[in-house]
Order: sequence, then C-alpha cells, then structure tokens
Amino acid sequence: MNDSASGIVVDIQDLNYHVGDLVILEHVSLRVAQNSFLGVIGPNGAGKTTLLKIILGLVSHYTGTVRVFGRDPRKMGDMRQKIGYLPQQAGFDRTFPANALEVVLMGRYGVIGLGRRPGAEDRRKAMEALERVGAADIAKRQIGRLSGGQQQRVFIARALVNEPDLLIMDEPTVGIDTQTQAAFTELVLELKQMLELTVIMVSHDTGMVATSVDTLACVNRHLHFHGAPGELTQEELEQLYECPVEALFHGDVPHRVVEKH
Amino acid sequence: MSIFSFGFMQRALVAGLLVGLVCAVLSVYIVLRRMAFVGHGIGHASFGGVALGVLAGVNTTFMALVFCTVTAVAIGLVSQRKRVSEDSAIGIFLVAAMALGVLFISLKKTFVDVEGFLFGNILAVSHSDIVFIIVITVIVLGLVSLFFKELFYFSFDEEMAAVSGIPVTFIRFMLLILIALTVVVAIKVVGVILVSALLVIPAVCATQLTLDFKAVMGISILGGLIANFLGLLLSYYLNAPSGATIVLVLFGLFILSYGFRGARERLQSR
Repeated sequence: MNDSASGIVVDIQDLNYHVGDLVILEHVSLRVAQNSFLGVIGPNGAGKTTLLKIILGLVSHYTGTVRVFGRDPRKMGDMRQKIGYLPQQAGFDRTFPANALEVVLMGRYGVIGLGRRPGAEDRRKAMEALERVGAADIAKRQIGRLSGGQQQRVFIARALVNEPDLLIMDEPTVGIDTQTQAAFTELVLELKQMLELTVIMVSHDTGMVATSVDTLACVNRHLHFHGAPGELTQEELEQLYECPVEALFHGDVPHRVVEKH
Repeated sequence: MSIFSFGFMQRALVAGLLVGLVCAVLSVYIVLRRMAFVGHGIGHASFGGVALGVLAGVNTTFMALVFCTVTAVAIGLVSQRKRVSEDSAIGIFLVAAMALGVLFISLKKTFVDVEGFLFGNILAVSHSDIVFIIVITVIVLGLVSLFFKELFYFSFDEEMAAVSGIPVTFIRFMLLILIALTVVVAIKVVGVILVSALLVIPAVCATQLTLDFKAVMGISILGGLIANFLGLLLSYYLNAPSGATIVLVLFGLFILSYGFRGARERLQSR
C-alpha cells in the first residue's frame, strides 16, 4: 500500500537542509493527512518557504526522506499536476502584458506539453477555474491592473486549473486588507471542501491560521510544535518566536509579537 | 526605388530587415525579463572574438559566434549559482572580452577595420553574410515559435513556470544562446557598441502602447523593421553612418511611443 492510499499526502522524515554553514531546516519530521488543512507558522527566515519548496521539488540538496503522494518530489513527473501552488506575491512585473485568463492558462502549460499551444479544452478549464474562484468577470483584464485580492483569486485559479489534490499556499494574505483576507479565507475553506483538497498554508497571520486550520506546525529551523491549534501554549509560541508574544488566539484578535527591548 | 538597384543596397536592406526582425522578437523577452544588460554584455564580448579572428586569421564571424555563445553560457552558469549576481557577471565578462579584443588588435600590426566592428557597416554585407543572417533568423524564429508559451510563462514568473513543469533551465540557456546568435548577426548592421539598442528599444516602444502580449510582439517587430528600413534610407541620403542612424530612428520611435502613452493617460484621466 502506498502513502496516498494510506491517507498520508506528505510524509517528511528527519529532513535537514543547509546552505553552506547556514542551517535552514534541521530534523524536521511531519505528516500531512489527506483532506486536512495544515497551517505553518514561524518567524521570518525560519525556513517555512524552504519547506514548501522542498515539498514542491524546487529544492534538491537536502537529506532525509520526503514523500509527496508517495513519490520523491524531485521526480514527480506527471504527478506534479496533483499539486497546486500559490507562491508568495510581490515578484511579478505589474506592467507584464498578460490578462487574467492567460495567467490561469499558464497553469496548463505543463500538461499541454512542449511545442503545442493551448486549445479550446484548456481555455474551458481555465475559465472554469476562474468561475470557481468568482473571477470570471475579470478574465480579460490585465493582471497588473487588478487589486491584490483579485490577483490572488487569479493565482488560486491557476493553482487549481489542473484539478490538484494538494494546494500549497505561501503567505497568501500578505499585502491584502483585512476584509479581503476574510473573504479569501472563506474561499479557501469552500474550495477545500468542494474539491476535497489537502491544504498546506504558510502564514504570518496566526489569527487566521488558528481559526481555519486543522493542524498547526510551528517551524523555526526545527519543528517546534505539531498538533491542533488549541493545544499550542503561549510558552511554546514564545519559544518559537524567541521573544514575548502579547496576545494569542483569542477570538478574532490576531497575535502581536512584542519587539525585543 | 532607384537606390535599391545597387547590389550592396539590396543586401543591406535584406540584412537590415532580417536583423531588425530577430532583434525585435528577442527584445520582447529581454525587456520583460529585465535583462537589457545581457544583450549589451554579449554584444561587447563579440569584440574579443572578432579581434581573435583577425589575429589568428580565422573567420571573424565564426570567432564572434564562439565568444558570444561562451559568454552567454558563462553568464547563465555564474548567475545560476547565485554567488555572483547576473548583472555583476555580465559586467565582468563584458570588460574581460573587450580587453582581450583590444589586446588581440594591438598584437596584429597591420590595419584592422576596428570601427566596422564597433559601429557596424551594413553597406559592406556580403552574400555569405546574407546566407548566415538567413540561417540565424530561421533558427531564432523557429525556436521562439516552438517554445512560444514556455518563453511567455518563463518571462512572467520563472519559479512558477518550473512548478508547472516548464524546463526553465533549458529555456534560460536557449534564450541566452539565441541572444548570442542574434548579436553576432546584428553587429554587422549596427556594430558592437550599438547592438543592445536593437535588442531593447523595439519592445520598450511596444510596451508603451499595449498590454496585450501578442500585440507587444507585433508592434515590436514593426518598430524594428521600420527603424532598420528608415535608418538605412536616411543614412544613404544623409551620407551618415548606418548603424548610428538606425539606432537614432529607434530612439525617435521610443520618444514617440513614450509621448503617445503620456498623452493618452492624460486624456483618460481627464
């Protein structure tokens, strides 16, 4: 029986990764069950994005075992399409000449294969993905001219265009106002249920994480905590951030990290 | 037109238009990926190759091709390791190849038409040059149309392209090598110093006018063709250096497109 049949989508055992002398991740072991929602929190530079990139097969030189759908993420082949990825924003050029539909279509390129152009079927799937995230009306608008929230929907549509089983998001709510963030969270939960997705999300926003995820992983080079959000104590969180944390997951109030004096 | 009854003018026109075409196509990717300095660096590197060709008595175009391709691959390799940034890598290879060129030229005691390499001489384009230009044009246009969607995604977001299964390393090196090939033919027309103008300005003009990718490509090509045609014509009648005239026409097109965009934005905001 392989891992995907046993209900484990991501299985990481004793993962170590360093760049030169700099230790990025050390002794990380983590399992993500099918249809679960994992939130990954931790301070800046804690290795959260690297962890995602390892799961995505974008980072190669690590030690330990990583299995995604029972496969080595560096050699996923066609299985790659089972993963949808929403990267950290900021990178792209706001004046880039591409509209929302073209951006979603990019997600199909790997399936279409080299030397061939997207066809009617690809366009239909891309439109469908845009409809699913409620962004069909902006299909022809240039990507850079959309609001942060709209862009995020387009990128989520691209992540979903191949009907993946695993959705990976890196800081999806950075640079988006609170209201849009709430709508975004709702959308993710809705999509998760409708498409039976397993979701992994890295976030700074511990408030949002605490209210939406099933399991929480606190990463700061090591995996400090792995369990349900309610089980995390203030001490553990402070240890993670290596500084006093003022407020915790009480209702809607997001926590604040108090500056070191 | 009577001036094109001269054989050298016919060849100049064919060379100018083909070079204008391939440069304009690649300029779109160069501008969107913000790698304008790459064309500049590879262009200057060709000088070292040309000079070595002269010194060793080997075909200068061939040597320029070798130098440019090696430089392109070296830039790709060095910046991939991320220990040296891409623009620093280009800056280093650019001056090293130029310095080698100056050294080689100084070792050759006889007369060498350095000015021709530096500023181009489109009127001296030979039959074999034309054949060479046609071959390069076919290669560049063929590969760009074959990998059209991959280059589009790669230009938009390299990392996401990799996630979606695009062979980004292959695309990156292919683009660098295509730029190298194009630089070698373009220096015949505008020379080492001015080649980066052809590899940058057409797409910059186009991005001022439209936000549709295919339209950007079309307008860029049109701009490249117009500049080479008009520049050649003007240089003939004004008895001015052809490379510089072509580049100045391109600069004029940039001013026009920039002004047009500004005027349109003012009208829209009214």
